[in-house]
Amino acid sequence: MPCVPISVALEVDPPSGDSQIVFQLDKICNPDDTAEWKIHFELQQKNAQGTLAPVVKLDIDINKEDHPAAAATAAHGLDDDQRAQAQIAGQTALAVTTNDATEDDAQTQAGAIIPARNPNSPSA
Amino acid sequence: MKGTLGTAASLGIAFTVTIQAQQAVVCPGAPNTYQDRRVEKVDITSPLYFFFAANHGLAELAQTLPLKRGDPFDIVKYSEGAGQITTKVRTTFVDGLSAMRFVVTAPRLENCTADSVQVHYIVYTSAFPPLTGRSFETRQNELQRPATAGAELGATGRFLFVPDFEYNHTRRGYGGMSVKNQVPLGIFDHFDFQTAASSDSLTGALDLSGTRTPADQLLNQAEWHLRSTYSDVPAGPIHLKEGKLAAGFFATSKEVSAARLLLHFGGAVAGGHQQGVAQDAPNSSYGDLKLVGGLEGQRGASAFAASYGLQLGATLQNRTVDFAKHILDVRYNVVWLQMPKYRKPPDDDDRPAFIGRDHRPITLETRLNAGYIQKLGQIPASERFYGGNQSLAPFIDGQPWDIRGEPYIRSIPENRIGSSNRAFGFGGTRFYSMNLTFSKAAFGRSLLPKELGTPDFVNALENVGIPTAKGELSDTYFAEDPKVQAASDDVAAIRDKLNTLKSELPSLKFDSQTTAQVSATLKSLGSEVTVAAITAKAIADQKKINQTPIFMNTQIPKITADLDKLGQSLRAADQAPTAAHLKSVRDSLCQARQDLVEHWNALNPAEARVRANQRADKDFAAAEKVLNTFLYQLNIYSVAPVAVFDAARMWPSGIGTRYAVGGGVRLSLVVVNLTIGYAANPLRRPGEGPGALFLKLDVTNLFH
Repeated sequence: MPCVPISVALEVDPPSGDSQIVFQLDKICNPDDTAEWKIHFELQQKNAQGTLAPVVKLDIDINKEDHPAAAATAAHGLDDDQRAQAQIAGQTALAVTTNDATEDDAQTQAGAIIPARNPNSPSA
Repeated sequence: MKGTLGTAASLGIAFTVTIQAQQAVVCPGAPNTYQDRRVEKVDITSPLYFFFAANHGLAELAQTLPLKRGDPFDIVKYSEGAGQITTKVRTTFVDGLSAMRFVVTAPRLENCTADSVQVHYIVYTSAFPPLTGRSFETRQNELQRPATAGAELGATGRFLFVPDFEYNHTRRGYGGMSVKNQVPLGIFDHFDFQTAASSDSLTGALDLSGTRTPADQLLNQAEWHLRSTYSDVPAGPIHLKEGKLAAGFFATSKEVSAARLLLHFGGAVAGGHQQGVAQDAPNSSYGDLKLVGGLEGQRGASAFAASYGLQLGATLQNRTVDFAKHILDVRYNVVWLQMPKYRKPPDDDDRPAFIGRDHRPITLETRLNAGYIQKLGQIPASERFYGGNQSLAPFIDGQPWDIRGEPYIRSIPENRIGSSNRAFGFGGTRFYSMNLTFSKAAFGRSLLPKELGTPDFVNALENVGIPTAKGELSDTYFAEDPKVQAASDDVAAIRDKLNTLKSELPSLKFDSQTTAQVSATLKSLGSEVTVAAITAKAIADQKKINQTPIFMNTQIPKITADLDKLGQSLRAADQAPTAAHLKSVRDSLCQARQDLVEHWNALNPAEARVRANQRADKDFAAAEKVLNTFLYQLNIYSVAPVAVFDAARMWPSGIGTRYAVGGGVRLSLVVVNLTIGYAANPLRRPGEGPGALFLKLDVTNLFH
């Protein structure tokens, strides 16, 4: 099967009415016909003013050849541990804006999302 | 008619897009085989919904993509363009009403020559109704007008003009339009103006409404209306005139039982003036209180709703209450359609094959209505029962549900059952009616194209997107579980230790040799403590309990390992107090972590996660069902023969049960739905026709 690009986004407003989840999965094709995936994950929550503001905003590049956890993520989505790590990465990124964390801290935490996949979660 | 021209214009765009797409020849090779050929053209089209954007927004967007006209074709830029379009459509064309929406961009290469290619991105999107509290009406809308139910929900954020035209023998052909918009005005956030007129009738309504989602068990969704209405319609030889101002409140609960039933309830108070015939109160002020309540639910491909309505009305003259009206409305609809058999591996995944396949659903719609008016004083003519083939007869004007206040029979023109025997006056005080509509789509074309029927598309949406979104919802419910929340006190205790350690780290000073040895460990320790403190704060203060396993199993062990390593590096005599202090901090953290682990395991978080997953599954069930409908059931156009049977009776009329037997056809074309048919009146009364034509044209999703 030749690699064919596609981009799919899903937005969900949970029934609580105070948040929004955005998930986008892009398939990128390379000249050698291999595929890479980009995941955009965004969690927005209502602030004191009642408007939705990003709490977690992540862009993750997944090369299936790199890591079994990456392939599993591209096939099944983020598991419990990865979502928790994604939240931590988002919190750390937010802390950078108040000088409570560094850019390095934020990048390290973002890079830990894919490896955080629980070994018991579905594999690719 | 302006609205109709708007319709035609929009359809013209749709046809143009379709014809263009048909003329293009899709390049047969794998995209990477066209690398470096000259890009002759870059187009973005959205054949289904964004007609306005097809004219304007998408054309501008095409010029901002990484791959431009004249460039050598680059498959990476070509791929990245799809993601950029999805992001732009998702963030620019914001939908303020739906609870779930997907956007798909599928690129393809067309009209390839030896040295050139044309790039064509096709965008598909749709909105879904709220996750829970989704009403029977939405489901029925999907059954009756499958090609447009999602489209109307997507048409928010700007003025929405919806032309309407209907025909019945009483009012003849009558048409008008509805203008809708989102307008934040205090507690109101929507504006709706509707009008319809014919040579002998005029109706109109101006409606301000607000909606909220309190998400409580008994008040999941709420909406309120302030509505002014005017109506002047014939009923046999007379005219019924009424002008009212009404305030109403309507609400839907979450599922209230294991059978997944929803409760809906509401009420309205209204006052105004009415004019009827010289019977009881021919010309009077008028006021009423209406209350309505009922249950609705879905099981598999079927949906049902049962409602009861009570109206207490007065002419505001001699009595507080002149009459009490009771209404019962029961409906059951079912659709039969082949769906993918796939559930989970190792089943064969047949889902991609269903996308782009023509769908031929069989639908059965049933309805039973009954009404009774208790006469205590005067009953205004406009509040009596008349019945006939009017497609809408809401019990409360502006109600979000279709609860009829009149009998429905398609063989007799509007308002004629209660006015056909003058010996019994005008308007009945009791009725029942029963309606059956059966249809089967004879042919049609799938809403989604076959080219989307790939494992990648199905995987991205169903295997990756939905589980991740559902997991995030599960995290919210997990955090609300009081059993696992008990762990937050242990985390708070560790957070205090981490903050103390964080404040001490900058004061650790060593000689140059030791500094060189421990600098990497110190840096790592500083980073780990910072992130763990942030995590602990989120768990303890913001109830992000789902982060607890990573906090105690990954973050704290890394910190204690770094403290160990640092302590072992401090061997000089003058470093002994620091090493001892670090060891005591490390031991204290280890003990606190051990306490947390034991407490956490005792709280049985696995069971709490199962409970949270079950709640998330439940909340997503309706949305997943609609998604499946969209992916595997809907047609962009369809033609469905329709068979109808009605029975109705009204008292006092001196006439027995009336019947309607007939058939017709339902045509759905992108945003236009036309149902036309004829119902015979097998037991004709003197002066009555052999039957009646029923016709309904409705248009949704018009932009300007």
